[in-house]
Amino acid sequence: MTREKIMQTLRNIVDQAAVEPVDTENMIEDTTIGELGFDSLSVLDLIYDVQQAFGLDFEVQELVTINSVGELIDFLEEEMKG
Amino acid sequence: MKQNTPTFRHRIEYAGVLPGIRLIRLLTPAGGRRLATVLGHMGFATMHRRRDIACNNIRLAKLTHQEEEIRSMARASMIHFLRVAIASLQNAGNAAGKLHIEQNIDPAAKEALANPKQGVILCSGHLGNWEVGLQEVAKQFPLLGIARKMNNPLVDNLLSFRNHENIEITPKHDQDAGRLVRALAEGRNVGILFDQHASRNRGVMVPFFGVPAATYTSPAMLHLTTKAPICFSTCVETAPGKYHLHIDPPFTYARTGNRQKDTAEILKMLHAKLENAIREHPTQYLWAHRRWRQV
Repeated sequence: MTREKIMQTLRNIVDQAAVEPVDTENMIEDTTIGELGFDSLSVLDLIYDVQQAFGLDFEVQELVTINSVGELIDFLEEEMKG
Repeated sequence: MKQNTPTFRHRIEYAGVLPGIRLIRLLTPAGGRRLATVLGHMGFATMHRRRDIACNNIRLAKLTHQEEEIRSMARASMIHFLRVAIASLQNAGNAAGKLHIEQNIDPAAKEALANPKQGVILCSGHLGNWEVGLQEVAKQFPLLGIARKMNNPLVDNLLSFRNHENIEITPKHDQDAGRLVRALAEGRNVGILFDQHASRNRGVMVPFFGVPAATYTSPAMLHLTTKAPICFSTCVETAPGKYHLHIDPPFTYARTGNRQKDTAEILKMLHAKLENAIREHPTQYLWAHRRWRQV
């Protein structure tokens, strides 16, 4: 899966998981997870949907050091390589 | 992010609250109970909105159809809530060990709570004395409690007694998105009071006493994403100053891939357990909470 394809999937997920409306069209790799408006509880919906959409079953604690959308894409690419 | 700087109004409120708390701490436990009883009767007679919410909730739960019993249960619940608040202020979660707390913690739950590699999602409701229960758990196992921050930062500081060596309180919607996941991975247990109304699109509808109630998905989502086990817990009062802390065996749920369905199923299980516990101690439940706002 290309980075652009992953980004598009993430845009769809964020649209569904975000509690407050997010302008996902302007979401870029430098956008931070905090800027997307996720807090300690709403981020769980994002994690669940990411795991489902990409068919991955990673250890969630590996995600806590991720700050930006770009880092999340790096992580997903690595996980998909298996 | 909201500013936490106290306003003039906050300072006035604080000046009003502080002497009351100091007075409560000077009272004996029996004095505190008497004060709660007097304030509870007064509150029931004068706080019509709260009284009506409590009575309506008891009617919805169909615990009894007798109007006199409904009012009596609502009044007892209000008195009980004040006893919880006053006892919590007096004992700061039994810091001095003055309360007698009998424990019935399932052995598998005990093992899971002590696991340094993965914490437990400890779920409880507004039944009995949840403050004493969580503080007692925290004496034995590391605990992170999720609680709503007070609007008044000065009053919030006054309640900081809830934080001690083994317990940390974190706000409900913490800006640190990874805090709960990290806590569980570090072997800390996360305490959640799950029977709260979820606003707007933050929750799912779950039957509670057969009536759909908007409910936060947090305990279920924490379980589904981290795979940390869930334990249901209660701490009910058995006599003045005496409590029974009960923790169920841990349970897990295999996700189906349908987030709505998975969260609703887990929350349904938790609410069924809470319902059973409430039926045993109906006057110790916080009926004055607007649990069914959509009804």
